[in-house]
Amino acid sequence: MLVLSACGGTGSGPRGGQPADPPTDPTPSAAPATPDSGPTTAPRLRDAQTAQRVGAPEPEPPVLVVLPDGRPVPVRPATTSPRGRLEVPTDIREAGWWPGGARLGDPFGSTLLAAHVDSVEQGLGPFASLLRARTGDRLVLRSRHLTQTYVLASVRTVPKASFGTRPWLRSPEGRRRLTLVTCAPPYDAANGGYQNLAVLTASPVGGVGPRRTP
Amino acid sequence: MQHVWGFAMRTRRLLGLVAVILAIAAAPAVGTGGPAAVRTATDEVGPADDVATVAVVQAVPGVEMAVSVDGEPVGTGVSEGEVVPMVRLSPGDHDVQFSFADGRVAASVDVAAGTRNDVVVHLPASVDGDPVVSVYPVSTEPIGPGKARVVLAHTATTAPADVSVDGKLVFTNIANGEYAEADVPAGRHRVALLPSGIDGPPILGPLDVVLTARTTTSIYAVGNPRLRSMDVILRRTPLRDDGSEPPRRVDTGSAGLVADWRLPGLG
Repeated sequence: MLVLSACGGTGSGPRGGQPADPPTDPTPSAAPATPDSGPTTAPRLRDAQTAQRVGAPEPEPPVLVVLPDGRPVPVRPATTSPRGRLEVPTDIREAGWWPGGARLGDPFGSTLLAAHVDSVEQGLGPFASLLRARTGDRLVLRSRHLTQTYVLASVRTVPKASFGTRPWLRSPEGRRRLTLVTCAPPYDAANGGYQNLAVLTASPVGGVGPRRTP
Repeated sequence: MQHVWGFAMRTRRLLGLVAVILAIAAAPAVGTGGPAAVRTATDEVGPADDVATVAVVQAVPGVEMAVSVDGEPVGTGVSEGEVVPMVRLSPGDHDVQFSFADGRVAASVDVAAGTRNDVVVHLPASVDGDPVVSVYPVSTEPIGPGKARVVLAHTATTAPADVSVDGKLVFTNIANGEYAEADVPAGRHRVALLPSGIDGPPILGPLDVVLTARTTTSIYAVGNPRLRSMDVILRRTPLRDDGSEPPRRVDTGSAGLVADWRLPGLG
């Protein structure tokens, strides 16, 4: 497991050495004769120990998703435009991750990824393969230090206009999950293009693990 | 700045000003023989910039302490669960001393600019050990909408612990003097401290804890489960919003190349 020191830049406090030996007299059996012998010897000044962050790997932004067909797709943070649109990378070979949702390693919530299914300039994107995916397929999400395998739990389509009414797709609440979104047919060029979104939900298999260096 | 809130004053202040709800769950506090007492404290100071801010947390049961920083008194009669409000310090080493009836503890605390730290005097894991001083960094990382940060710090006289949140094991193997941290959905959660690595009743809780959006709630576990004295000290610190706006629209295709595809994955 990954143990990260989040010492906030204090730069001190080496772990290990047991802290603060008592400045007090360690032999209480000798005490009864002098129940209150006044202040004990002056304390030795020692470095306070900096508490170490443990318990779980420190969550990280995802940087790569491996799709069910084995294709790796780089992942970049995608913010929301003033008009409420998720700013997915224009390069259809990359996916956007909404940073307001769950990171890799967060104990709850949806990690939302979206990518273009196609473009006139680049043709089909890797996320087009998600339209062929089936429940039970596996995906892998990676961050700088972590990796997590998921199994596809559901595939469905929803009207594109309904995304904003489905907070579950990006909510920090609920069980941790990976949500992948891309455009889906039907296509109506005269009416905004694709009418639907494909929404795939994947559940984690086991825990978050350390990423092996390739 | 250099005063200590009395417990009653803190409580009133808390109830009056802060939307903190912390209730002991109706469920029996298994393993402690009864509901744990709960103390809370809150800071209103925002993240630091070019200085370091330090709050001193007294987590030694049954002892009143005088606290000084660099020789200057910052609190007297500080009892368990009390928090000496934020002190601003220049970056670098500072001497923090705790004096009490049976002795003194002194520690050199090294702080960096722009950090927040809780300097906590607490007992070690071993029974009859003398107080030790640990510096718990308080995260200033901005947080996303609808989320709250929770820090579980082990400052109790007991073996390493696991932590469950809403029945899900979230942290494992936190030893005395260590902490774990996570961002979770804001709202009410059930938090329990469990003995690490063995099946046993909770060391503490489950407690109903309300975590407010855009805050860090630091939970210091203190006491000794064998003495049924487990208790928590809660501290709440504000966080900045990370600026994320939930998207309302996703447009991810334009060429119509999959117009005729049928999705086999659909039921």
